[in-house]
Amino acid sequence: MLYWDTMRVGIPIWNGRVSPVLDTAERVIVVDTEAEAGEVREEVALQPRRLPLRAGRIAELRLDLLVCGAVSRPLAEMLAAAGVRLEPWISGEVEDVLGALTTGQLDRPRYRMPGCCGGRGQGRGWGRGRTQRGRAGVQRRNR
Amino acid sequence: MPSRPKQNPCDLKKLLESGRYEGVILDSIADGVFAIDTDWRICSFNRAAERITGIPGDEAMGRQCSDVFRASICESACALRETMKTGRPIINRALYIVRSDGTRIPITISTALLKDDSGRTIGGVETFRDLSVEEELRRELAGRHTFEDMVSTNKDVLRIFEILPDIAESESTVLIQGESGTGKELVARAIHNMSPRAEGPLVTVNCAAIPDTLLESELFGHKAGSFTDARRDRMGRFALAEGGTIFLDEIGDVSPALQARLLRVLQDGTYEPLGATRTEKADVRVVAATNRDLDAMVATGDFRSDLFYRINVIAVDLPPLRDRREDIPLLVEHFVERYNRLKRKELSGVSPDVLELLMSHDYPGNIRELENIIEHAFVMCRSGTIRKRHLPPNLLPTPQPTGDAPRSIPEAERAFLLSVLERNRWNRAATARELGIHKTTLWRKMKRLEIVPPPKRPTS
Repeated sequence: MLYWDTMRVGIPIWNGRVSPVLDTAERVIVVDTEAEAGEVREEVALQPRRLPLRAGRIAELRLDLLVCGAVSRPLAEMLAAAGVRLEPWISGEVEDVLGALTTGQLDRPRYRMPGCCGGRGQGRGWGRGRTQRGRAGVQRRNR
Repeated sequence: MPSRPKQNPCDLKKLLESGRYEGVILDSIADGVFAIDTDWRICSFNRAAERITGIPGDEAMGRQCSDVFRASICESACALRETMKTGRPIINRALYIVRSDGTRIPITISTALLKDDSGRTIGGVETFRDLSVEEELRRELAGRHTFEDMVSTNKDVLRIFEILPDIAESESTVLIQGESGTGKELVARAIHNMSPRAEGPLVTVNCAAIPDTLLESELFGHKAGSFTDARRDRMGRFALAEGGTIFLDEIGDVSPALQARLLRVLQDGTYEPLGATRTEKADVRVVAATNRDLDAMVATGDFRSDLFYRINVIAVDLPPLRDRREDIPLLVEHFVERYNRLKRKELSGVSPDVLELLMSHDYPGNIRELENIIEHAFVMCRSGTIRKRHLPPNLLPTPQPTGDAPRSIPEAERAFLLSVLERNRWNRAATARELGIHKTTLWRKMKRLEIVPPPKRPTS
């Protein structure tokens, strides 16, 4: 289990919201709560358009978790192979999503992209449940 | 028969203008249509839009259009934003969207403004057309499967993906080695497409498919009269590839005489067409490929060492599929999706026992063989899931006849169990499934018949 207070989370960001498509997202906000100076945030560019290179670039960020919107299956598979833990099909304002992550409320339907998870009559998005993380957001780690 | 009262055209116009039939009309068109308000929220979503995106209309309504549409241009070049800004519609712009199942759907979109009676912009409308089938057919016809079509989670293949752009950027000669069907041509195409020569031609020559006597003329061209049937000048493949890349597939099959001529092109960048007196300069990048062990051929004197070192500047080794079995489920999914589009079917995938069978096969024909198996299954399977009966017969396990006939029933049972276990690579779950018995029953039988599993081979 991961803990919010000791982790490095990445969220592709666009206009303050979670980027709709990870395959084409241009920037990622990395929130690192392990830093000595307290929480550190930085925005990094995601240049490569080609998926293998994009997956490699994301893997270089050494994230504990990448929360993102839509992601194509090949990219998700490459990220999984590179050891990147993924929480896909999330939408909303990045600050709200970070807040939901700390309180374990990211599973709420309001953060799910339509047609993916928690919706009426739709199955879960394919990427959910394949990742190693537990449900209901991120929990606190025992020290 | 009483005739129905004739509809007055003016009444129909009024009815349509009242908006009562708007939904019916929108739902009757094959293209996806959605409308947004000035806050970029979806306020209309027709049935085709539901089908193409895989999102029910009631889930789409009121949501941000980028969260629903999930298009490749949402972030960088939103077409509706452009239309809202300029007032000009956009027609047939090509892009892709990502469905909830992770599939990229190629589409074209067109946009228009929505205005109220006073001419004030109150939103925008976007229509989109699913091009999956057309795109697949186009690729099939052009043989243009690209870098993006190469799927893998194998670390060796991912490493190749990673260095491919740097290889492409350089002007060096590349040697791609790998068994037949491992995707050598895809890599060659990717190198060309990512290189500064991408605007130039990519000319492919299968050296093994052309008789040696013709290959020289095919590669370098000839002048009229240089041999009996040479009635006119003919450009060779090197000339056709000028400014681009030549892909010499199966270079290990080239004769020693031709090897010497190829060496000259690589060394000096010059060649002479057959019968010509003038030397031609070649501005061509050479990418070669082989399924043979060129190192060993050099050792036996079947391949010139100087040519080998010239072409082996950068080597790309593609692993056979049996060494990257972890990719089989991903490749199966990839091919099922592809043939669903091509054959206009909606097969859900393969059953677990089929996947197990596919995982245990050795694939002498590599990825191409796996693709052929899926294509075969698509012919045999009309709908639902691909099952064992849809697979080519040669893939299905058959009892192996043994040399010595068993002398007793337990012996016969032992021989049969051994053959099934070996066929399933000593996977007891798969063997039990094939035999239709429980795993523990199989285990008991093995114990009774004194069948001991072989020690596990160390993994390389």
